[in-house]
Amino acid sequence: MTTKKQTFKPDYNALMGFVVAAFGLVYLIMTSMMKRSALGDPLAPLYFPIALGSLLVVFGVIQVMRSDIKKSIESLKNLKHMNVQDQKINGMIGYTCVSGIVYALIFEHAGFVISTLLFMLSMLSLTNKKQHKTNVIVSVVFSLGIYLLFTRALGIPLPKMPFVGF
Amino acid sequence: MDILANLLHGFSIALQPYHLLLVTVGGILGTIVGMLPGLGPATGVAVLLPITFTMGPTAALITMTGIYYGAMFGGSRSSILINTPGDGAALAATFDGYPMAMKGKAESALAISAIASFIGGLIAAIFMVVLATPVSKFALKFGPAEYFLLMVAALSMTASMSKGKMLKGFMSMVFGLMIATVGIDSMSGIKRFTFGVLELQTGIDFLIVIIGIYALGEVFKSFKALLSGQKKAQTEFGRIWVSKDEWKRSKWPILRSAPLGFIIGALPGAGGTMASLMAYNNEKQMSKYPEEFGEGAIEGLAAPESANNAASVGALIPMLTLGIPGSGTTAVMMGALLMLGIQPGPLLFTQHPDIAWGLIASMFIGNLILAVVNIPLAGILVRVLAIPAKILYPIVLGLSFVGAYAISNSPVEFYLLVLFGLLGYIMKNVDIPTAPMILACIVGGTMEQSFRQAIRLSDGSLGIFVGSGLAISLIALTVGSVVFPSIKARFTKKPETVVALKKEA
Repeated sequence: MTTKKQTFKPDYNALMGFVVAAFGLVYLIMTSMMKRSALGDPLAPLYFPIALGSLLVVFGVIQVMRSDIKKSIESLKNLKHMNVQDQKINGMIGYTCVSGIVYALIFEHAGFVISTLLFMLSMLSLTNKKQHKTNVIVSVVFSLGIYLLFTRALGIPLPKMPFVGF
Repeated sequence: MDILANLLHGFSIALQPYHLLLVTVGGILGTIVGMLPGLGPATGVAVLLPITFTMGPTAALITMTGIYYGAMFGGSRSSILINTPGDGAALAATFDGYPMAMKGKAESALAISAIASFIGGLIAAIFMVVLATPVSKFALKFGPAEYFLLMVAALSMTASMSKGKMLKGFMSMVFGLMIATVGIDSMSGIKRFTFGVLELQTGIDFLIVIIGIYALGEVFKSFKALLSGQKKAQTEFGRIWVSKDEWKRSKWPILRSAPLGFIIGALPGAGGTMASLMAYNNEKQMSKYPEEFGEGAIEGLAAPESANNAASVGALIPMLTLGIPGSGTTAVMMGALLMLGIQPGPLLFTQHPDIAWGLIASMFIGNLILAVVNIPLAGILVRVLAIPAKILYPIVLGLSFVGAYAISNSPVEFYLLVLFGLLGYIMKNVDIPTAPMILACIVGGTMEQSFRQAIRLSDGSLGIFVGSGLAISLIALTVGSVVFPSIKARFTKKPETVVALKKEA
């Protein structure tokens, strides 16, 4: 039984076909709800999206028909028995996404240097655990270096820290 | 004879020490900017534009061209070393360049990339001198219908490139086209799929999609290697050069791809991305070793590198001779020329020969300088791989977010970046190719516009899409790109079946 679990190769093709067809359908519904053009042909802005939505539904259905539905269901069930490493990877991806969202939220309020410093520290503490000194040095050098490169050398304005002007 | 005299006059301008300095500095700055995720040639030229404001038109255009070529070189460096293309044109360099680096062949990858770019750029510059007028006349024959069909052909070729998963390739392509429909429709002013978000009204920048899918997606994928302590990247490097065998495999793909890249680049809007992906696809179809493509085949890197540099030269043709920018970068350059009081177009060559021919001559010189600078510089850049992955990945993430901000000046793009990063990771896990999506995302807007213009011109009749020999040829090319791989696969499978049957017997 253990051997079977270890050699099991997930196959999500049928499930993917369903998702793709459903997405195409939702896209088509949203297209049909769109405003009509006041200029020229009122449906002109809709033709291209209608063609795309329809194509995606067709591709999704073909994908389902060409795949093994039972295997997809089995693969889904097998997700419960996910190994520790895969769980860790998913956790790391989730942590990175949350860090990115927090970074976006504080970026303009805290300024580039502080928000980037915090983001880098957060990411480095995930990948380079316990090396706090290195993490701090890399974060400071990166955030200050990029700030100077962009604002001074490239002339791209970046949000400044409140009250400090840097 | 006139051409030769004009070219010599151009060289007398481009070889002036001041102009040589400008093309070198521009090239180096462009290489650095091009390496940063999200800062490709268009952004590079745009952000470095202020340094040209104090120069004369000739010097300004020569500097911008140096930045343009430098960014093309730089974009490929980051494609090879960290699997993150600087822009769309460097996308194809990730397919085999990165696997080569992962296999410990970073030196060969960097060298062939610089050599192919140099040769591609040089051949294209020769074509530019000889064929400028006829090629622009040919590009003028492309009406909206032909232009739409050209994009359909390019997309279907890219989708069908995904051997054994063509259907998934087409799904990916449709996803990309859907992304391109987000924003205010330029022809009617109707908001499409903006969900009330102000920032989505201007659409989703394809660079955000590229950075999300490639940079974030790659980091997500690399977490596995990080946890299992796998060490893929080489840390010691030898001489940055190619072996005789590698050169033998690369020379014809380089020479074949340069004219292709030049022609595609000369078509307004087609640009380096389409040129490099088409060159990659062509080489894969023609190769004796198609199974090596995507695993580190040197010709899979050489061909698109030659094509995208040739395309960057070709893209200057419609801008200089017709006043129509052939790519995003040339659009920025044209804007800068207009600011300097120069109107690009047919009269440029007669009214301002110094500018036109000085620029053409600087293409030869710029390409040579960039090749000379980039091969030794690659030795320093390649050290990026020596940085431990646990530090490099957060840096890649940080650069990606900064690049995204530089594109739009809005942190809202960060959410999209995370979203596309996740999408890229999922697509990799379910084996959906991402290249068709990226290309579709880049050309989607223009493709729809061309389609609607064609329909409007024909009063709603679809007959316009088969109304010219060129249109029919493009349809045949599209059909061929779908049918040919299937036929090829069937023929190559046959001997295996025979062997299997014999064994059973």
